[in-house]
Amino acid sequence: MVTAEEMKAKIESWGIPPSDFIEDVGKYLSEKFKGDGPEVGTDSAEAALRKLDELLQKYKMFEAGLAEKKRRLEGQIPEISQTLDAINHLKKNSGNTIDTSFQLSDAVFAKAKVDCGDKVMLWLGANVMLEYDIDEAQTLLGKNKTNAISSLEEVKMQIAYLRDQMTTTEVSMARVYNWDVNRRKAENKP
Amino acid sequence: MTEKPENPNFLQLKIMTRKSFSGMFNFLFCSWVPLSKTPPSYIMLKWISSHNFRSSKNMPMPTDNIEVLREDQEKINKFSRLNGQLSEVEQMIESRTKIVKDIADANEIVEELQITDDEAPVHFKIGECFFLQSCENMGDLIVSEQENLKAELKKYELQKKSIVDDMNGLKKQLYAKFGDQIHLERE
Repeated sequence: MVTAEEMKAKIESWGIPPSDFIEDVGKYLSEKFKGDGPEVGTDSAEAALRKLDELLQKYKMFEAGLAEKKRRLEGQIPEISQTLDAINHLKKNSGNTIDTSFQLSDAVFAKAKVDCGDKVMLWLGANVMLEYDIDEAQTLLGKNKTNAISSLEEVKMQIAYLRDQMTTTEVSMARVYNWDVNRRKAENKP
Repeated sequence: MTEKPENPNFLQLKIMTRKSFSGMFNFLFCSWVPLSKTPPSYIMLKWISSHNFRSSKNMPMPTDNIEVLREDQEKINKFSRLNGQLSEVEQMIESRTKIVKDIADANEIVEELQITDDEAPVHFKIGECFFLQSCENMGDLIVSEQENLKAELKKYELQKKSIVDDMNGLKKQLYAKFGDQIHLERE
């Protein structure tokens, strides 16, 4: 279990600015957005709203980045699992020759006989392919998969945190706005 | 929902969370008007720039304004988060259900083939290649695959149930406090 402090450090490392809950709108405005006049009024509320909207836009940028990261990881995990499945299959048939239809391009398949030895090639990316012992390949892919899953978990946590901040900001905007409406309502009363 | 005419004196605030993440729902703390499909940021900006507070004297005011407490904020946040999770889980369930169905279809075909010839060759896709298998082997492969998927599907469905339960609980609490000043439905 993660302790509260570890969680706090983690959140700080993400670099997402927190959106603090406003306890008392009037006090918040007079502390941070007080203009020249003796009282806080519409100008302060407008300034505060602009500021909050800016923050919201910032969160939206974060959100787009995180959504992209999440999509990439979600695509990666099934790919790794499939490769693992194929390796397991080769291992099960170790020593035999198996008939396969081998993908040449998107819609072209050729027949191939595959000798299931104890070596496989893994595509590492950047135009590099390496030969591995089949067991080694299995461990490597297993490790990659665990890593991908844990980064996905982390990204999901980030998104959840970000979402809390966005909701808080949105509610704050509504409250600042309402505060001003109510203030004017009181003012207009004879 | 009724569409009200756009009136510059009628102050409106509709705050939406993004559709892609949350499904759609919104919080409204004033009188509210559904504002077509304009993106929320645009609405906000337009609203900020177009309203002159001092000149509009007869604007309708929210009838009663209930103060949002920290615990309410936490409930709203949780609701919003759960809503996001719900969409995700629903997507998972949908894709899994489709695969389960596909596999059931495949199983049927293989069983039919088996009637004529137990050793009939079939291609089975693992990763990106098709592997030639006899029908007999195939049966086992299909069954194990099917069981995996069904277990996953069940897991997601349980998740969905607990999310929906939590959301309903929160909804009740929030509506009890804020009444029609808050809107928590999907559109």
